[in-house]
This record gives sequence, structure tokens and C-alpha cells, in this order.
Amino acid sequence: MFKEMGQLKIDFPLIIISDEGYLKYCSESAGELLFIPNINGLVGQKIDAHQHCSSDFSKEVIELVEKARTDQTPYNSELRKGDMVFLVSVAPVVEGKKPSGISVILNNITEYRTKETESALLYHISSTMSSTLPPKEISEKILWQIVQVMNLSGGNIMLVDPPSQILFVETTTSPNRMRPLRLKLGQGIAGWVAKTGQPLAIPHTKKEKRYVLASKNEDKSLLSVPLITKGQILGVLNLWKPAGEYFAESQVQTFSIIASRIADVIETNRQRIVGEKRLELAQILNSTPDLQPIVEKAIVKVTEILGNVPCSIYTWTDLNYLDSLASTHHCYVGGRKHEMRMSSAKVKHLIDETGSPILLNNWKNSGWVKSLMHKHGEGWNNTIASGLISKGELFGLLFIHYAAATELGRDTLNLISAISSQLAMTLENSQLYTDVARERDILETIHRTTGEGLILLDVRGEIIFYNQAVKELLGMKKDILGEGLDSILSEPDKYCRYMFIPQIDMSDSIRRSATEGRAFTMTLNTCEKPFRVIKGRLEPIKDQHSGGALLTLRNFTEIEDLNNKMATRVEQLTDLFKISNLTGASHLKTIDRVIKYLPKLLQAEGSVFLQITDGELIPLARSNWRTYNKLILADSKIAQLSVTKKRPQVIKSGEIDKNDQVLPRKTDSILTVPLVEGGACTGIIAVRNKLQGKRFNKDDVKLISIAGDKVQSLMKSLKLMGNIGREKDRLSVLIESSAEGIFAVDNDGSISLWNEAMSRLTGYSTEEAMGKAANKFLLTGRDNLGLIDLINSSRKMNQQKGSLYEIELHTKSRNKRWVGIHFAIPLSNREGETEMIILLNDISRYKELEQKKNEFISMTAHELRTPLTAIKGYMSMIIQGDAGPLNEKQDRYFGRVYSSVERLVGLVEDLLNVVRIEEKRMVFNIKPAPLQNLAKEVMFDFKQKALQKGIALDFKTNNQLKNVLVLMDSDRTKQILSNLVDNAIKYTHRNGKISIKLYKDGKGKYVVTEVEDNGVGIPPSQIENVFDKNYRVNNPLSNQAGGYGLGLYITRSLVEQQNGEIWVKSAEGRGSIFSFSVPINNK
Amino acid sequence: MNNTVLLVEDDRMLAEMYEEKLSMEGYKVIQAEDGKIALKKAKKQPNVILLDIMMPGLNGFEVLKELKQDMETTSIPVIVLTNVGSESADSDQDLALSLGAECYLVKSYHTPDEVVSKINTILNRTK
Repeated sequence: MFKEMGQLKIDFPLIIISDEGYLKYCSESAGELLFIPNINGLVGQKIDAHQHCSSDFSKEVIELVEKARTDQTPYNSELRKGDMVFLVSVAPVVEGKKPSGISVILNNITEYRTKETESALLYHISSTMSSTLPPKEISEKILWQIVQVMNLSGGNIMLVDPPSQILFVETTTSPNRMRPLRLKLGQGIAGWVAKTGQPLAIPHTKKEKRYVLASKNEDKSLLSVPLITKGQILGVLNLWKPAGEYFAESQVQTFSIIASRIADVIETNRQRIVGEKRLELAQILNSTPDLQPIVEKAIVKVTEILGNVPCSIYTWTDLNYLDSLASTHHCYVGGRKHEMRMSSAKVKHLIDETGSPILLNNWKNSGWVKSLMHKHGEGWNNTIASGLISKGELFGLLFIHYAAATELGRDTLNLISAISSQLAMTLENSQLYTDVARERDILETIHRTTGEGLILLDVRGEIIFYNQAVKELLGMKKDILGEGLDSILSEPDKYCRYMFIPQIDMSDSIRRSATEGRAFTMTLNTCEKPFRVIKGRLEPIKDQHSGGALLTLRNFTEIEDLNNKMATRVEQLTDLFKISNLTGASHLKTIDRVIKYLPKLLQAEGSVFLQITDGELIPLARSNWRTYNKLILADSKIAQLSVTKKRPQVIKSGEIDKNDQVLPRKTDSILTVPLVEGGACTGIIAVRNKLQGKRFNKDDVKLISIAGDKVQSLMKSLKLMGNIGREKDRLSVLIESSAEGIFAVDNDGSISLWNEAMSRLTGYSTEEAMGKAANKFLLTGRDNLGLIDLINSSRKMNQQKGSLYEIELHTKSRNKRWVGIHFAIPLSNREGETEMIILLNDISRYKELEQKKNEFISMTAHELRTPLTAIKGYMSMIIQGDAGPLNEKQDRYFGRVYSSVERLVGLVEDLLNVVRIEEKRMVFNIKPAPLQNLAKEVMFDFKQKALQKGIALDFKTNNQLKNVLVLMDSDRTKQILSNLVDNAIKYTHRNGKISIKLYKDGKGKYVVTEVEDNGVGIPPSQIENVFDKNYRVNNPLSNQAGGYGLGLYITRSLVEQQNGEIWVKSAEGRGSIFSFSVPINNK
Repeated sequence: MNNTVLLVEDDRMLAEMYEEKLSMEGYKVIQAEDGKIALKKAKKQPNVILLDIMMPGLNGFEVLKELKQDMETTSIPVIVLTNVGSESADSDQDLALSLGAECYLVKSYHTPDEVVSKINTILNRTK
């Protein structure tokens, strides 16, 4: 190529740089423009933007070259050099198949910028481009505008056909004078331009005649500019002038710019067409349930979208074989069977792994893929296989065959991938993809509802599935999977325990059933004991894809003794259920059909099915039976009779009350069967008036029983479904609308449920929260510990489910919210995973109020202390005689005042303690210490007080406790004991007795202190509440004794804070025993 | 010679009450109604200081801290006499003791008589 360039001897600013970045050629004018000193001296050297380039312009040019070199993509860029504007076109040059360097063309477009005619042209072109004309007309119009405005002799636009990589004429100004022209890339001037992306202007000379795109008679100057958009060369704009005129440099630039605009229009349009075609494809795919036409139409659309390339769709019929569904261009993939099996399995594996389309070319030489390659002509061996994946399973392939030279970009692969999933979805939805597994699903469902023996045969009559009932019906000795049905029928004793009479002639029927689609019935019976009659019905599966047949087996041994007529009737009834089930009718519909069919079956006048709900009768289905829509069970004697008897019965005319509301008029006899579930009657089926004056007989009873059983089971599943559905609905509404934040975490701590209130509470939306690890974003105010960690640790400690406590939680906006936590019972699902449900209550407001209340109490209490101090102080001074001696009365009165003040001080102290406890401000100084000494101290302190009331204080401890230390805060424990002893004194009558006892508990982990009195005791109804805040036992003595109920609440808190427990036993009128435990120091 | 007590108390009535009782028991009482005055009057080297906590301006803890940091006053025993907090294991008490108070008394718990006997005990100990 470079040689050719040299021969052309064109001096325009051209630089060629080798692929390694060495300067190969630099024209004189280019050197001048770049202003790199001694540039020709640099040939063979690497040009460094910083070292060699003195101007910004040259630096920018070199940078652009680097960009083109690394991207291997052509670039056009307008760069300024002083007052001048240059269009710098850089493009990778490919020689042979290897990139051989970068060509740079510098074009002065200053002139263009100023030229009015060209601006006008551009203006015209822009307005044309924005018009709503069809794209082909737009390019044609632009072409004409260029030719006319610029006074050219003609021109054309050639485009590259993506699949074949051939240039063809899209539009031309001189259609008559042009021969149809197709060029391969790289062929001729247009081919070279389309390949390299470089514009080329050729002045007319004899020598270049062979390049000129004109008839032989007419010589022209040619300009060929590439149509480039988004780095992609779409084609070439060719323009020509009469011989003797030349394309100026500036014009080359103008047309380059115009060309890129045209390219934009073409590309946008192509995208739009692809979009439209995909829409059409979607419409086709949704149009009709009939598959084959869809697939055939769809594949045509796919071909159009991808640019008229041959395509084909294949699916796996079984594990190994690919089956063609549709194709275009008569293309196919294929090969010898064993090769096909191998290669299709490998392609499957590859697509399964990557999930994206694969280019089979990459494995062209690996033998196994050769067999998959399309064999339709030489140049078409660039094949892409794209997976048709549904529900994560690969079930088919879309093959696309491109021409060998086609460059397939990411965009194309993505498009193919998208189309494949579009196809896959439809194919799956339209039940084309009905494999054995799915049939098995259906059969298993049928099996569950009917309990009949079911055998699924493939086209060859081999058993591919059978259910549990078959084993029992045939008395199977061994597995019959994979066996031929005919061999079982001809040698039943080999497979079955029962001695069935062989049915050799059945094999032909089976084959015909499978191939001709006919149904056959058969009977298997034994000739000796145990007697067994099995009836079977062989029905072909009318599925063009998988074929085969379904054999339904029923045990007729028991009903064989009924007459043939009866057997047929039972069969009819059972069939009715079966047919309804197979056709997918709803349970209610099936029940309706059966009830309507009953009169015919029993030869009676009418029938009804009444559902019993809460003592009401609701007719759910009826035939020739007029009755009210709602009846009270108690109003109908007939209904009551059948309900109480709980089995089928015939009620004769003598027993019928003519006014019975359930019964239509002129009912002489009826047959009823109650539906009994769990001992309760849930409904009644009734049939009335046997025709021709006959009576209901045994057979009728049997039939109606069968119908009853079936209806019963249908109702049961109906109820179950209804209940589950309703419960689910209720629950989800409840959860969503709950004001409490509700969320759930699974085993690994990630969120599996998140309601609206949680979003409000935390600021995290459901989308943000679901699936996230809860501990990562639900952080508590306790050392930023994760909420779930905290719950789990407290669960371990308390081993309590659902315990409630309060904590601060960080929200998304980094605020803190107080929440009450109620973590619910861990639920185990079927897989044994544990899910914990957590309820959060926003208690911030309540906490705020509580804090205010506490502050208020605290402040008031402190304020009270000062005046109390003064009263108490002066009073003590008066009593001591500091203000002079007191007479006896004064002394007594002031003594009363003093003790009242003492009580007030105590009350204020209690209030302050409660606040301290609630705000967790109480400091505990827990150290090992002997409890018995402390108890003795307390005893001593209260001796005087007890003595005043004539109460005996008794103290008991045992030797066990010698040297035993407990873990306690001595001051607090003293407070506990004092409170208990003080209470005991308060609530014990004069001359009573109080004893204090210390002992080790059964396990030796705690020291228990018992304070026993023989006082008023606590009524049983109130004993639970004695440790609550604001609680005071309501009894006469307590009114005298005073105390405001805070004492025991504080005492309990103090005990619990020291890891102990407190409890009480009491008998009203006889006294109480308060006990508390303190842990023993084991170290 | 009479022992001197610096009574730091902003409540007039309480100050009067303690002053009366202390004088009755033979103590010389210097009064200070806020922290600043207390620091000034402590320079007069009282034998013991009764110090309230809740006061306008400098609070009792700050006064205590300065008293203990000042070489002149550091050896004077200080009894914190306040209506803030509680006597049993409370953070206020811990703070007062850690700052160098001899003891921490809650006013409403103790009669003036008990306060005087506490002062006596402390003075006997330091002698």
C-alpha cells in the first residue's frame, strides 16, 4: 500500500508511523506543519511527544496517533494551529492481515471554515438529515445536494454488507451510467478507503484509470471518503469531477465531515430498524399459541435483524441429539451422529459455563466443532452458537453463520444474546419445551389426586415413569423402569406377584397407540387366587414433540362382583373426575360437573351438594333441585338425619316431612351421603326420586359413596388452598401495614423480610435492605454492636424467646432511634434453616417523655431536699433541747413531726433511686465479701426499731457459710436487707416475730437470704405484683405503715443488678417470706 | 483556742442553721456563700471546710479541686455537705472523694448534730 502511495507522488501532509511507533515516512508539508525540527532526520526513530514536539499542535497530533495505535481505530479530530484549523485523520493501516502502522493526514480546513458555499451545503445537509424522510431517501438527497451545490459531475454512496463484507452501491446520481458494482474490502479505491478509513483523492491520470469508478469513456477525478461513525466504517462516499478538475485539500475535509454525518444517519437508522424488527419479532412470538409457524416467522425476523445472515434454531430432544426447528437460507448444522452428540454436548457445556454466545470459529480446528459447522458454501464458516436458556436450563441453540471476514463486535454478540433470550422465553412459554420431567410433574400431580396407577411410555413402548400405585396394583416384584410394556404383558410372572394371564397380543396395540394416536383398553386378570382384576386404558400423548403413551391402571377386583353396568357407571364417574383433573378444571368446576352428572348416573330426578358451614347449608352445586340459597341446618330434618348418621342412607317417603326446606316439592325418596372430615360433617350430597318409580339400591349407595369421597377430597384441598392463600394474604397485609417495624433474618444473618415500617424507622428502603447482612447496617448504640449479634448474645444469656428490651439503633441518616425489640421465635423452614423474626417498636417519643419525667422527678426531689434538710435539722435541734427544754407533750409532738420528716426524706430518696435505676446511673461496686457479717450489721441497726414494736428479731446462719464470700456491692446489699427487714417490721403486728436465715442454694451457686415474718401477709391475687413500681399491698396495716410502693421495686432492681434473684412466699394473715440470692464467689 | 470552720453554703437558711449549731458547739464559723469567696476565705486557714456542691458560679467540685491544688489550702480537711447525689456508691461521691474530700454527706440524711460529730471525728483524726 505504501508503495502505491509513493507512486502517486502526492504531496499532502502525510505521516506514516510504524506499528511499533517509529516514524516511517513524513511528507515535506507535514514536516512543516508539525514544526518538528529536522523531522526527516527522525525517520526510523520513535517520536516522543515531549521530547520532539515544540508546539501543542504537534503534541496533540502525536497523542492522537498513539490513541489510534492502541485502539487500532481510525480517528478524525479537528486541531487548531494558530489561526488555522486542521482536520487530523489518523488510521491504522493493515497490510496483509497484520497491522503495519498508522497513517496520519493533516488537512488544512481553515478555508472550509470560511467558505460560504460549503457552510450553506452543510446547512442544507443538516436540515435534510433532520427531516422525517426514509433514510435511503435522505442519503440520496444529501448526495444530490452535494453534487449540485459543489458543482460536481456525480457521486455515489457505497455501504458495507456486514455478513459478506462486500461493498455495494446504496445510492448513486447516475444510475444509468453505472454498472452494478460490488467490491470486496480492500479492492479498488473505494475498497481501500472502506478498509483503512482514510479519505483518498485521485486526480485523473491515465495511470489510475483502473481505479476510476466510471465507464471507460468518461475520465474523472475521484474523491473517496469513508463513512465512519463510532469507530466503525459503514461504507464510502464517492464523488467525482470532470477530468481536469481536482479535489482541493479543504474539500476533502469538508466531505470527510459530511461523510461522518451521513454515517451517523445511517447508523442511527440501522439501530432504529433493528429496534423495529425486534418489536416485530416480539409481536410474532406473542401472536399465536401454534408454535411451528411462530418459530418459522421468528427466524426470518432474526435474520433481518442481524443483517440477512443465515440462522437456524435447534433444540435438544433428548440429552444428546439436536433437532432443527427452523432455519433460513436452507442452512443447517449437522454431522455424523456420534460427532453431533459429542460436539453438541461440548457446546452445551461451554454455554452453560459462560452464559454468552460463543464463536465456534475459535474451535474451528478442534474436530468436534467441525461437525456443527454449517456446510453451506465456502465463505460462511464464521458460526456463532447462542444458547436458548429457560429457567437456568439450556435447551436449545441459535446458530448464526457469518462470512469468514466479518468482524463481530461486542454489540453484535449482545444483540444475539438478547434475541436468544427473547426466543427462549417464548419457546418455553409455548410448551415446546415439554420434556419428560415436566410430564412427570403433571403425572405426579394427577397421581396425588386420583391414586390410580399411572405408567408413562415413550414412543417405543418403554416405561419411562410409573407411580407408587402401579407397584401395589400389579404386585411388582422388581423395578420396571426402562422395560417394554409388551414384555411385561407377555411375561407378567417375571415382574408381578399376581399370576396375571399373559396378554401377548397387546404389544401391537401399544405400538399403534403410540404411532397412530389411538386409545386402547386392557384388562389384566388372574385365573386363580388371589383374584385380581386390573383394568387399564392406554392413551397416546398427543404431543408432537415427545410422543409416547399414558397407561392408567385401576383396580377392579372389588367392584368386579357388581354387575357390568355398575362397573361402567363407576368407571364413568371416575373418568369424570379424571377428565376434569386432566383438563385442569378447577376443583369447584369438577364438583359441579359430578353433581350434575349424578342424576344421569343413578337414574334419578335431581341432585344437590350442600356445604355445611357454621350450622348453615349452602348449595354449591345442584341439578334439578330447587332450594333456598342459604338454609339453617336445624331447619331441615333430612339434613340433620344425614349428618347424625354419618353414612349414606336412603330416606323413604314415609320419613320425609313435606315442608322440609331443603327438599324440592314432590320429593318421594332421597339418597344422601354426608361428607365427614375429622368426625365433623362438612357437607351433604343428595339425589332424589329414582326414575320410573324404582327405589334406590345398593349400587346407588356405592356410587354416591364414591362420589362423596371424591368430592370430599376435592373440598379438602380446596379449603386448604383457600386457607393458606387467605392466611398468606392476611399476613402479608398485616406485616406491610404494621406500625411496628418487622424484619426477618435467615441463618447467615441476611435480611429476608423488611416491611414498610422498618423503612420508615431506619431510613433503608426494602430494596436496600433485602439480602444485606443485618449486622453490617443495623448497628446499636451499645458500642456499635450489630443488632443481630446483640440479640443472639442476649438470647444465649437469657435463653428466652421473645424477650423485650430497649435499645438505641443507628438510622441511615446517622441519627439514633430508641426501639423496643421483640425478637420472635426462630422459625425453621423445610430446609432446616432458621429464620428469626424481629419486631421493632419506635419508642423514641416514649423514651423522650420518660427522660423528661425522670428529669422532672430528679429535679423536684433535689429541690425538696433543701427545705426538708432545714425542717429536719431544726426539728432535731429542738428535740435535743438546743432551743431550751421541752415539756412532755411538746417532746411527743415534735417527735411525730420529726419521724414524718424522716419518712419524707426516705420517699425523696426512693424517688431518686428509681430514676437512677431507670437511667442506669446507679454505680455498683461488686467485690467478694462475707454476707453474714453484713446481715448481722443490719440486724443490729434495726434492733431498736423492732424493740419499740415488741418484735423479736432472730438471726440464723450455718457453718456452711463460714468463709463463704459472695459477689456483691456491700452498700447496695445492705440497702436490700434493710428494705426487707424494715418492711417486715412495718407489716408485722406488735409482739410479732421476724427471723433472718442465710443458706446455700441447692446447687451451691448462691447464698440465699430469707426474711420471714408472721405479719399481715400478701393476698394471693396481689403477690405477683409486689415487686412492681407503684404497687402497695392493699391492707389495713399498710395504710398505717405508710411506704409508697417504691421500696420493693428498688430492692428487686438492686438484687437483679447484682445478678441475683428475689422472690416471695406469703399466706394472707399469716406472714411472708422474702428471699433473695447473691452469687457465691467461686474464684 | 477555738477551731474554725469554713462553711460554704449558698442557702441562707441552711447556712444559718449550721452556723448556729456549730457556734453552739464552740466552733468559730466563717461563712462563704459562693465558690469564689470560699477560695478567698480558705486562705485564712480554717481547721475544716464544709463544702456545698450546687452553688452559683464555681461549683463545689471546682472549689475542691482548687483547694487541693493550692499548697496553702491543700492540707485543710474538706467535708462535702450537699443535697446532690446519694451517699452509697454514687458517681458524685466517687468524684468528691477522688478530688480529696474527707467524706461525702447528704444534708437531708443527717441532723446538724451528726454533722458536728463528723467534724469532731475528722479533727481528732488529723490532730
